[in-house]
Amino acid sequence: MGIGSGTRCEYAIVGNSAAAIGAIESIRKIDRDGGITVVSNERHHVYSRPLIAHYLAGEVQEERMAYRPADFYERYNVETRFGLNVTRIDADGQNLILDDGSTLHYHRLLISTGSKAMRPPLKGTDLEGVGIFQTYDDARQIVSRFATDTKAVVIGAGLIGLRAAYGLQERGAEVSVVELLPRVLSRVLDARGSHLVQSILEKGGIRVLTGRSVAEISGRNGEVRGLILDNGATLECRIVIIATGVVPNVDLVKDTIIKVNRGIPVNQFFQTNVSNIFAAGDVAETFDIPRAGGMVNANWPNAHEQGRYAGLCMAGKMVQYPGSLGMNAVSLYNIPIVSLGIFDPESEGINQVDVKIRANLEQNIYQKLVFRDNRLKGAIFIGDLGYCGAVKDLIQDQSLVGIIKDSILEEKYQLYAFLRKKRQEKVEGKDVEWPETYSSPQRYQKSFNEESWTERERDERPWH
Amino acid sequence: MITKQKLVYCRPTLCSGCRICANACAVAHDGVANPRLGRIAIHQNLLERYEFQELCRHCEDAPCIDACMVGCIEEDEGTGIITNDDRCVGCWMCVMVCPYGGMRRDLAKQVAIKCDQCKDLSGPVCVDVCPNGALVYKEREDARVEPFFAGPTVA
Ligand SMILES: Cc1cc2nc3c(=O)[nH]c(=O)nc-3n(C[C@H](O)[C@H](O)[C@H](O)COP(=O)(O)OP(=O)(O)OC[C@H]3O[C@@H](n4cnc5c(N)ncnc54)[C@H](O)[C@@H]3O)c2cc1C
Repeated sequence: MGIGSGTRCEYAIVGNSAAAIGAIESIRKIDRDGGITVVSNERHHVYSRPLIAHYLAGEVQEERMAYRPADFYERYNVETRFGLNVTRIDADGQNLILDDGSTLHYHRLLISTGSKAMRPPLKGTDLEGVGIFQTYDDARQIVSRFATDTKAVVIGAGLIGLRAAYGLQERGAEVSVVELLPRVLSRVLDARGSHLVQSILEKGGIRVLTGRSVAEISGRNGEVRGLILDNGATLECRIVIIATGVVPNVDLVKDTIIKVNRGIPVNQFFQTNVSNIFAAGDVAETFDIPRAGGMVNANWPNAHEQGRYAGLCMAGKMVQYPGSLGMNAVSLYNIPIVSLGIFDPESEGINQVDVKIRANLEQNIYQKLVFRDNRLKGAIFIGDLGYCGAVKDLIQDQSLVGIIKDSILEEKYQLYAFLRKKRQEKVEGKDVEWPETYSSPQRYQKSFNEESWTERERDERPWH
Repeated sequence: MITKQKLVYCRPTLCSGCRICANACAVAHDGVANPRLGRIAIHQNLLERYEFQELCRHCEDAPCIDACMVGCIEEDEGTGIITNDDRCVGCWMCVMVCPYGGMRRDLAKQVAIKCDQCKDLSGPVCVDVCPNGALVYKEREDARVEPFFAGPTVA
C-alpha cells in the first residue's frame, strides 16, 4: 500500500455525525488552515440521527433533516469523502485505507464510527420489509413501504425501538412491540418507571408484548407477512423493525494495535493508546462521572461534546474532559421522560444508596433521585421534568447535596437558595468578594425562619 | 469566565415575584400574557417569601448546543447570543442539560423556548418592565466591580 498513491491531510475523521461535527467546529477554532478530511460510508450531508424517528413519524420533512447548514463543509474548509468505507487503519504508517483502494495519509485521526445495531440470528431477517433503524436510509426505506392500514412490529423495546414504534404509529400504522425482557426501556428506567411508560404506550394504542421472543419472521414471495412468537402466537405485519440494541462500532480497530474494550478506551484528552489516534462519541469509552469508571455513554449530547473536546486536543489545545454521564431524554405522547446517571442502583449492585421518590401515577408523574455519600448519582423524571437540568449539573459536579436532599423534588426554597449560591459562583467566579455594605432600598420585607437554615447560608445573604 | 458579553442579571433582594417580566417576555415573543411562556422564570415559595429567578446565561461552549440534536440552537458569533429556532421538535435534551433552567418548555406547541435577549428589539423587555429595578442588562465584567451589584446577583 504505497503512500504515494493517496492523498494526505492534517486531520482525518472517520464518521460524519455528532462527534465528527463537534470536532470540526473546535479544530477550526484553533487551526484555520490544517486540512481536514471526513470519510463516511453514508452519502448524506450531515443529518441528525435521532431525527430519523421524527422523519418516520412525518413530523419532520427532508429539508429539515440537516444538522448543519448546506454550506457547512465549505465554510469550515473540510474535504468530504462520502459513500466510502474505511477498511483498515495503518497506524504505523498513519494511513487510512478506503474501499475504493485509495489511501489517506493523516497526522491526527479521529475515530467517530458511532454505534452499530445488533442483528439477532433470526430466520427471515433477509425478507423485504424487515430492517434495522439506524440511518436515514433505513428510515426512508420504511417510509417507502408504507401503505394505508399498515401493520408493523418492532422487535425490542429500548429507546430506539420505542421511538420507531411511536414514529410508525404517528404515520398511521398499527404497531406492536415485542420485548424479550419483562419490561420496556430496561436500560433507561427502573421497574416502576418502565411500568408507567408501558401503560402510557398501551393507553396510546401501541400493543406491548413483554417477556416474549420472536421465533421466526415469516413471509411470502420474499416479502414479510408476519411474525411467529416463542409461544406459537402469530402477528400479522408488513413492516418489521429490529431494534434489539446497539454496540460500539469497533470493527475498524479490531485486530489493530489500538486497544478495544467494550468501546475504544480513551484518556481525558480522547487519545487512544496510540497518541495521534483519537476516538469520540458512541464508539469511545470515557470516564463515567457517577460510576467513576470507564463506560460507553452513547447519546447525542455526549457525542457532540466529546467531539468538541477531542477536536481541541487534536489541534493542540489540551483541554481536559471532565467525564461523561449516561443520559436520555425522550417524549412519548407529549409526556417527557428523562433519565440520568445511576437511575437504578439495585440492578447495578450498588448499595448504601438513599433514594427519594415523588410519584403521582394517575397524572403520569414519577420522579426519582439516587444519592450516595450525600452526592447525587442518578435521577429519573417522567411527566414532570422539575429541576432536571439543575439535577444533571449536580450529578456532573458531584457536589455535596446533603442539606437539600429533601428539597429537590419538593421544590422547596432551600433548593432555590442552594442553586442560587452555586450559580453565583459559576457565573461570577468563586473569587468574587461581596462587599459587606449593601445599601439598596429594601422595598419588600421578606420573612425568614432562621432556625430552619444553616449558619452558612444565613451569613451569605442579608435577610430581613 | 469573564467576557465582554452583555447579560441580564437579577438582584434577588429587589424581586417581589410579580412575574411582570415573564408576562412581558411572553407578550414580546408569543403575543400572549402567560408567565409560563416567559423565557425568564420566577419561582416563588409563598410560605417562605422566597423568589428564585432562572434565565439563560448564554454560556460559552453551551451544553444546550451540544445537546440539540436538530442543530437548531445556535450561537451568534458576534454577540454570543444563543437562540433556538422553529425547527425544534421538543426532544427536551436541552432542558435536560441546562444547569441554569434557561431552557423552558412551551407545552402547547411542544417546543423548547429560550431567552434571545430580545435581539430584534431595542433591549430585553424584562429589564424594561421590571418595576422594582431588580433586573439589569450589563456586561458580565461589571458584575465584579460595580458596588451596584454588591448584593448577590443571580444566575
Ligand atoms: C433512531 C435513533 C434515535 C435516537 N434518539 C436519540 C435521542 O433521542 N437522544 C440521544 O441522546 N441519542 C439518540 N440516539 C443516539 C444518537 O444518535 C447517537 O448517540 C449519536 O448519533 C452518536 O453520534 P456519533 O457521532 O458517535 O456516531 P454515529 O451517529 O453513530 O455516526 C457514525 C458514522 O460513522 C460511519 N462509519 C462507521 N464506520 C465507518 C467506516 N469504517 N468507514 C466510514 N464510515 C463509517 C457510520 O456510517 C455513521 O454514519 C438515537 C439513535 C437512533 C438510531
